[in-house]
Amino acid sequence: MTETAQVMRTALDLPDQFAGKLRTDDAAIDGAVGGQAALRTSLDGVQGSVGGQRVALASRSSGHATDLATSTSESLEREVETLLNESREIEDAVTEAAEALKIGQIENDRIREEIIREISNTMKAVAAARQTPPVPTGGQAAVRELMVSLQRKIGELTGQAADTSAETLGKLTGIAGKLGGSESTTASSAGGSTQVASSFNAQGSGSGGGGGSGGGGGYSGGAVTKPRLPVAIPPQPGTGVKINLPNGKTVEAPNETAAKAVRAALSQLGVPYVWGGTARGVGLDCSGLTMTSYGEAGLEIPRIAKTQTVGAEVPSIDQLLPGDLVVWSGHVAMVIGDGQMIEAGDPVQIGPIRTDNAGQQFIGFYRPTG
Amino acid sequence: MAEIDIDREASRVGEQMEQTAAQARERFAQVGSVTGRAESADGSIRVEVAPGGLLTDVRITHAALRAGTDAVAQQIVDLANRATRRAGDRMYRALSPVLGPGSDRQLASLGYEPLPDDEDEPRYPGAAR
Repeated sequence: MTETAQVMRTALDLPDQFAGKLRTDDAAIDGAVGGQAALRTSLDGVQGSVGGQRVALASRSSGHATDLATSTSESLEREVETLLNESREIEDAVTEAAEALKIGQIENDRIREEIIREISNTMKAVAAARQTPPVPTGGQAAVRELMVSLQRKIGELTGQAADTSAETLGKLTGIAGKLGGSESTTASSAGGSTQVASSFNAQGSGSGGGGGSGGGGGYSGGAVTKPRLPVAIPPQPGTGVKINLPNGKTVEAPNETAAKAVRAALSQLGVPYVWGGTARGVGLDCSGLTMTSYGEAGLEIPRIAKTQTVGAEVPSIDQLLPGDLVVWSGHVAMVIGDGQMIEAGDPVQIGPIRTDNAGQQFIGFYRPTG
Repeated sequence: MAEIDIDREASRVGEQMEQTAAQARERFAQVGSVTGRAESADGSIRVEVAPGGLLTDVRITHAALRAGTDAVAQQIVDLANRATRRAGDRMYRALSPVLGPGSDRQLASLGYEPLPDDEDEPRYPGAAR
């Protein structure tokens, strides 16, 4: 290999590695986007026909069995809508990711070309300098200076390439992080209709009682059914535990555990969102925040947002107390009081209590301490 | 994404290097010497340097020594500096046509810069001063 080729290979080694990381299979990306669009279209169709069937059912004779069929069908329709929204989210995320990669590739290519240009300019000057009389010594000092300068320039450009690569990968992590909030994307849509049928039969009289009913049965992607839990009753006067909120207000939690959980959650304000994150102070996702905060208070609650429907159910929004959880099919937040709740968006932040979340199915309010 | 063929790029650079070397050789032959020379007004001290400033020849007459050792030393330094700038000017004029218009910065980084035309200096090999 010539000296020049050697210099070039060494100089391009790192940028070539970055190019490899940024390499995209454009056909595969197109396929993924196309697949999502197709899924969305067929889900649209299902939603339409399910809705139609429900109307037809209800318009016939009413009766216990029909009511159950109707409400199960409602659940299915809601689940389909959730899948629809998630499909749209995925499609957008794939498109956004492809764009970020393209930009990264173009920038990395530009830097590689500039490296080659610098090498070319320097080696030409080296060739000329070597002809300085008396040959061969006349140009030595100049050649040395030229090569040192080239090394420095290549170092700068390689640094730029590293920055570009890091920035692109950072963007991709951000895009994935946004998706990660909708944890029920792992739910398979296959078997959805079968699931409906079995829950129809199993829930005969509808009082499934404690055990692992709703929480346990919701897994393989069918309708997210609410567990049958006792209703939360307001605490007796004088039994509450006070908490000071960041906005200066003082609120009362129903018990010491809830108060500790709220204080633990507040301590995580500003922590970045990390999909699957349970590292307090470092990176948390929505259910990670609530699970670890109750963990700090000494109460274990499940890992996944839609299964944090534990303890007692709070029957209405006006009965919410600090420590209560607001649960959706793919998100969870903790009430802190004064009409506010804390959640792991990016970063962990406080906002007014709400019941909508990116089109997800709202499940309910729960008090883990019962 | 563009695939970069290093061997192809390297051989293209190699070709350009050969062309440039040939042009440079020719140019240096035309220009003759690229050393820089300077001498004191009365010719009693003469200095010659290679491009970059390495002293290659120093001549002092007895007359020069009359001015005293400090004066002689200082004069040698001043003449060497002037000679170095002249060598740089010669290198610039030799190589700038070969490396093209975009090469000024590169040549300057080596100390090869053109002297303004009003500075009194010999341009042809063998000319006085």
